Amino acid sequence: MAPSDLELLRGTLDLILLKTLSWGPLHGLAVVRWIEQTTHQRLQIEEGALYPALHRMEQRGWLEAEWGYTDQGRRAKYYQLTALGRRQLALELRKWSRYSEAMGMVIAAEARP
Amino acid sequence: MNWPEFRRAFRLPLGKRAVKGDVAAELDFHIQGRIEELMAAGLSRAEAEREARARFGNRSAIGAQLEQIDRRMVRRRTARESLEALMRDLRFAVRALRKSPGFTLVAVLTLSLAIGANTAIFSAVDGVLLRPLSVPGLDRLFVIQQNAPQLKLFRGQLSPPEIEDLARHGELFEAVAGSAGTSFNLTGSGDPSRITAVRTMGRFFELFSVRPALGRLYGPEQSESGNELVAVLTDGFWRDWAGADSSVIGRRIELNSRVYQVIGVLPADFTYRRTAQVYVPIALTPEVRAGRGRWSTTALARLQPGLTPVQLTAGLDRIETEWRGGAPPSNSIDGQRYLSAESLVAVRAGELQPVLKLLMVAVLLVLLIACVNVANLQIVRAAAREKELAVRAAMGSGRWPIVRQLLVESTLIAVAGGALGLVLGTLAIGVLTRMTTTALPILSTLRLDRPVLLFAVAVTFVSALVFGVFPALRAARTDLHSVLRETARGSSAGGRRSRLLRLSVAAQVALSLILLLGAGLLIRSLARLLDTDPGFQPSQVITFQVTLPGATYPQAPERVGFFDQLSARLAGIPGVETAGAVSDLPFAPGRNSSPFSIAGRPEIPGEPARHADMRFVQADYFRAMGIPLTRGRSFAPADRLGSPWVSVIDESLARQYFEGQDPIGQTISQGGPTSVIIGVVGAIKHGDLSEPDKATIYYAYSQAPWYSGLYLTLRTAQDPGAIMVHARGAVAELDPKLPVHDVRLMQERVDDSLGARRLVMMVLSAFALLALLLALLGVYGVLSYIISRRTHELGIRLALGAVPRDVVRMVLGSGLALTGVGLAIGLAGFLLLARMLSSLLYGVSPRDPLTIAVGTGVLALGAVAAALVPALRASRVDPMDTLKEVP
Repeated sequence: MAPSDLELLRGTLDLILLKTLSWGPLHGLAVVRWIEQTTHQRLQIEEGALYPALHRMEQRGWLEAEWGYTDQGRRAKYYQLTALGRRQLALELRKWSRYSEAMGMVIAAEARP
Repeated sequence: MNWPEFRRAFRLPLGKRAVKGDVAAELDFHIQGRIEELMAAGLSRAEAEREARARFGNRSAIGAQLEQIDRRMVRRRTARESLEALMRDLRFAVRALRKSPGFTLVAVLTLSLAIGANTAIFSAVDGVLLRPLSVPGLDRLFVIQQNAPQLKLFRGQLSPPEIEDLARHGELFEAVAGSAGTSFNLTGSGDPSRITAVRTMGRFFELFSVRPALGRLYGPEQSESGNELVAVLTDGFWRDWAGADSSVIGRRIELNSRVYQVIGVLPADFTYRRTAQVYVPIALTPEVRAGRGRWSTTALARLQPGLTPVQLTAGLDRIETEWRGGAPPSNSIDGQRYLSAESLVAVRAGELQPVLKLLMVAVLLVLLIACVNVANLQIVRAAAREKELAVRAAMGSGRWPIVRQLLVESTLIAVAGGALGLVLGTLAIGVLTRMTTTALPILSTLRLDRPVLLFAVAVTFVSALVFGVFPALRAARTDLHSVLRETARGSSAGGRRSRLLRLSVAAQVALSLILLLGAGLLIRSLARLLDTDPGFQPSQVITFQVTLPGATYPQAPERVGFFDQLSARLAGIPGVETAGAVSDLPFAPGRNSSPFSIAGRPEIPGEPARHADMRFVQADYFRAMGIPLTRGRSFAPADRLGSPWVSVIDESLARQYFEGQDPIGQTISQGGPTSVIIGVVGAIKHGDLSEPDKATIYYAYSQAPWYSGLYLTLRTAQDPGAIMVHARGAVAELDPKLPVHDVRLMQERVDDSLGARRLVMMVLSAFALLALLLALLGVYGVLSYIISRRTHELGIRLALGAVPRDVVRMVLGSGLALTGVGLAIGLAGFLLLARMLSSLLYGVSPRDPLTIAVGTGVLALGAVAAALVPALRASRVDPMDTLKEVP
């Protein structure tokens, strides 16, 4: 299997972003880098698609955006989880683990239908 | 991974324009970062750029998407933030108002009274002047009237053939119609009753753009003889008489013993004449078409669109010239005549039009006074809150938030006042409609509907602005340092403020003086009118109408015989002193007049035109009404059908045409046979106590039974209800099919003729009283405030040997100076406005010195009383206390 041909399942991008930001404020590029590192580049994300998701989550009040400076002194927009965002993350995590549990049962099934 | 603590730059953009730059910067940062990363990994710049862009995807589409999301976000955030700010201000305002309940209560009550009064008066203006009929293009509907100054005839009706002439002028009028009120005996279904009807000709229903609720309406063709026996029912009558049965079309209805066919029912909102029950066509027989002088019909016309009033007047002049050229004047009257047009709305409003305009002005003055008063209270309160506001300003709150805060408080007060005002207004409308049902029926349909509600809401917010903005701006401008440094000695801001307060109190005094004097004049003229002798004694007279249908009483002797018998029976009722009847009862609808000639005395140019009211009286009418016989004799049983005609003239005619002569024995003629004058009776008022006496000739009904209906008059000291039981019995004994109609005491009729004057007098007096109260409250409040500011100074004065009397005199003096200025301004204003009143006054000049003296005196006395309380309080200031207070 080629390293980067796992297409993102619908609805999982939000979870990924929330989880990424749960460690602290990050700008968009850093988010992409972290996802690449963490998944060993297995997830194929169109980088641009990240931003509408981030802005939408900001609009919903899950994230808070703020302009800041990088270590190199560049101006960048940082996103940070709000309390609402943390609640949402917990919710999405629960949902995901129930989903993958169910998927696991299906895949591991041995009894014939 | 290392999570960098980033250095914060600034918050997100708030402006919509900033969004675009923001999005571009964010995406540029991303792509640029990637390029550098890729180049660091060994790619050439060109390769790195291509790769970075490919990984990113469609930059411009994503950018557009982001801008859209962000813009919406900014919009929402701005809205939310201003809402939050408003809620904060509101919460703060409620708290602030709750802290000064006295102020809040007085302000809300003051405003609610003013707004309530405005709502009620506006509902009348709206219902009578602005939207009296739901007709499209109401402003193009006119009543065409004739005027003959020589006959003292103004705004008179026309004759049916003249109205037909008007209809031929399509260049002026879209549609022309005629209408005449009448009443019918309704028989053939249940008890006989008298119903009110309108007879119409021409394109009447088309003129009003009315569509039938059921069946069809009729047009001009129905006036041609033979077609006229059709009837259109009003909604109310359809419900009463036909039980709202939709199969009523085609039914027969017996009116004055003639059978009409019901062809249609009008919609409920058609209120051309509120009391009308049936509409029927006027039959244009050859006889009617020949009677150009029978001015019995109201001419209605819908003007062609786009015509100016000047063009209309010119057109009417042309028509009049045509008439004069076509048919040479038959007498000297025609030559003097001219046509005029008055809007239908104004005609219907009648005497209420000037009344309502006046009351609207008055009630707006009341509102203004109330606003000034509340503004005053605000200024005084702002003084007490000066420190609070100064501290807020010192803590960095800008001027605008303070202004906004105070405006929110004002609006809150206004809304509370408006809500309470609506309740009061509804009550007032209820009182207005109940009070005036018989005297001013047009007011009986007032209600608080949407336009009135909108008006009340508008008044509420406008008044919030009027009384709120000025004090708010003032408070925000207050100099911080001087306030925080201020001591009880009073600062320059305090001085400015009291000047402002004095000014507003003077304004209130001025405005309330205007109202007070207006009310005073109206009270005086009403008193004059009530003192006016109508020429007869209206108390203890019962009146009612009986009309004989032409179908059952076609012959003159039958009519004479009927009324002779009826009068005799009525006079025989125990408790009835005398009974009689008359063709046109004073203070009842309808009057009849025509030119007359005196035998052997050709008319002299310059002499008043020989024109007189004509009345046909029966039995003991003069004695029953209490009209004194001053010369000669009254009618006798010997004056019968066939005997030579005799007439009785009134003093007014005797004075005008027989000055210095004995009219008895003179021969006059008024359209009918010549008659010999046998007596003179006193002149009476016919329709209005304020009108000049009109020459009148009385004839014996028994000689000229031209009228089918007469008003019976019974003089009795007994209970009218009990007498009427017998009277109805007497009518029924003679003819059970005859209804007894329009039963009323003569006194009530006279009283109702003063309805509009009474209404305006009462309402204006109430307004004046309210204004007086507010103005005195203002004087009291402002003096109290000024004195509380000067306690220290007064204390020093007292300590230095001033006696309390000096202090009282000083405070009273400043109060009176204030009032004096207000009175002077008010008087000047009143003299300017007095002209508005002149049409409503009777027997009193708009500049009546007595009224002015009394009104000014009352206000001045009130002001002294209002100033005395704070003055006495000031004189009791303890010098020790105030001196100890020095900071």
